Amino acid sequence: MTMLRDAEALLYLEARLLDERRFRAWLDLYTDTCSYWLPARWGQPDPVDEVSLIYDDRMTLETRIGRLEHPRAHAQLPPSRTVHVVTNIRVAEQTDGGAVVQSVCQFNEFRTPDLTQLVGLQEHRLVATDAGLRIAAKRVDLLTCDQPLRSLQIPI
Amino acid sequence: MDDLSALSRASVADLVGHDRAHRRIYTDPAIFALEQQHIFGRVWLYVAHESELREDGDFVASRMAGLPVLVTRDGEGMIHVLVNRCGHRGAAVCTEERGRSRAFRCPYHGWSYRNDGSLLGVPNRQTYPEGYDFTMPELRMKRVPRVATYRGFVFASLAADGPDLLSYLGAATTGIDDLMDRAPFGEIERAGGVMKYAVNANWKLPTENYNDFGHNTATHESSYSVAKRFTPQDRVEPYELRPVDIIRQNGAGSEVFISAGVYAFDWGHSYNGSHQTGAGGKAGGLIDVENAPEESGYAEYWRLLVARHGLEKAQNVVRKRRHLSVAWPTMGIQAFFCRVSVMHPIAVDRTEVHIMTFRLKGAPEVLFRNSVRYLTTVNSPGSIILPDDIEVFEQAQRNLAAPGAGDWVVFPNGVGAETAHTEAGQFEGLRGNGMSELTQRNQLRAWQHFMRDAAV
Repeated sequence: MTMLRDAEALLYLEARLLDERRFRAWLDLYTDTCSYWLPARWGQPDPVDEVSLIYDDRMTLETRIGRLEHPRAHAQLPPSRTVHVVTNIRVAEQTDGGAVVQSVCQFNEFRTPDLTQLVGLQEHRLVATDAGLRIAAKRVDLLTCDQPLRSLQIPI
Repeated sequence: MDDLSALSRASVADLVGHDRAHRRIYTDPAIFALEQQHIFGRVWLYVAHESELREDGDFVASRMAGLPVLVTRDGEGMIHVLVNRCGHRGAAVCTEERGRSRAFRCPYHGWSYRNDGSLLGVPNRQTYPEGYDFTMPELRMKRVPRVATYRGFVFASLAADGPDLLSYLGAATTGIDDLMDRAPFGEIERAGGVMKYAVNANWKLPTENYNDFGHNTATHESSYSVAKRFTPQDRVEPYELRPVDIIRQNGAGSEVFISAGVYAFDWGHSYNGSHQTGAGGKAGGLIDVENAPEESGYAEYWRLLVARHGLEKAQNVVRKRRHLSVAWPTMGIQAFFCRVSVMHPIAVDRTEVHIMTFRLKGAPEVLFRNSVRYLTTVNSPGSIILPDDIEVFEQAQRNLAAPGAGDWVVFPNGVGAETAHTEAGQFEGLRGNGMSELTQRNQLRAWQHFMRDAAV
């Protein structure tokens, strides 16, 4: 049960850091060689031969949050308010101090004048590091991934 | 008296001046309905690519503006564009995105149609009136009257008459040529999925942004200034694009944009030069194909291009630098990232955009994968760039819809400074500096041409 508890703690922390717009601390939960992937098709097998909504490595994630913090990120003035709801957490596979953890994320974002609600299946690949459990890869399959979405600015 | 009633007596075409447009053309549902008839009902619209219709019976779902259609290939290899609507009670005859079938059966009452749209069968015929004429044209799937292809790109027109495809595309054919000439065997195929996004704004707002170099510096500052913190990748290996090097390009600076230039032609078509810069032009993902090392895969690609075109033309092909070619009103082509976008006007204040990648047969796999990465980086609603565009379109739409906020938007940049330009030795047009709003004025002129005889 320890891995489940540790994973729950990490996923709840991730959600909270995003909701508090503490993007640097959020990125610190990821390894240096991490990937962050939102497929553009349900069940999409890979991000290399097919377009994705997001497919970021560490450097691109840093650019992403750098933009969110930028004083002239006009599409974040006023900033998005978000509530990430994470639930149905289970350890799908446990390996060598790490784990593959599956969960559900319900993402709520308010930016005048719109409330946007998205929901998806998440999979985190967690690895043990000297600093504790970290995210090596995250995949979010949005229920509406292949529909025309308007704007996804805050990580899910 | 409010301004709208004063305008109601004016002809629709008067809502556009040589350097201005009235807000109503972006916000009035009556004008949107007229556009469906007078613009989208008359022009040639891109509907599919031949590589999606390789075998007899292949079909693919598509749209012409807001109209759902099926593009089919019949038993004789002929391509049809059919309105996806049952002639009986109006349900969609086919709900699949693509497939292979000689016939379609409506899921409502089971009427079936051949893949040329003709009525094949009606269940329980004995209970219909005796002698009921099932051959009446309105009972078949409506066939879009004109279908034609240019170098594998399938276009259709809802009008039975009008200029043929080549006459309509005119200079826009050179945008397709730019893509096709990069294919070593002259063959490309649809691959890589579809990117979709939506904007709660009139279709003309994103269309006016196609060749708009005037916005990059201000709109995208928050992303390119962050991307510039990373050292540009000078080494060409491993020939994979990095998103930061793509994002950085929006900060190329006024001089680069101004010299890149914009070009405008008949029927609203246009293109802009490229702002992709860097050592050897590769920081933006543009590979120095002519001098690529063997292991990159590009050396073989270059040999194939030279074999196909000869040295001089091959050089012209790979050195050509257009950012985006526009086949007005709905199609954008970006040759060096093998990308085609199609605009779908859904409502006066709602537009959906689909962007697709193509694989060039015989080109290195990394070229295709870079196209996929480019599209993911630039055209996704989740991209670091696009939300800043969407934001300005939607802000503008809200302001344009607000009575009293101002009636006109203006496009004065570069007026009177255009010079004559002949493209590919045959298409007469104009060139403006990259900041010029020439292409936007040119789109408005085409809009005015089609809407001239429309009346609200």
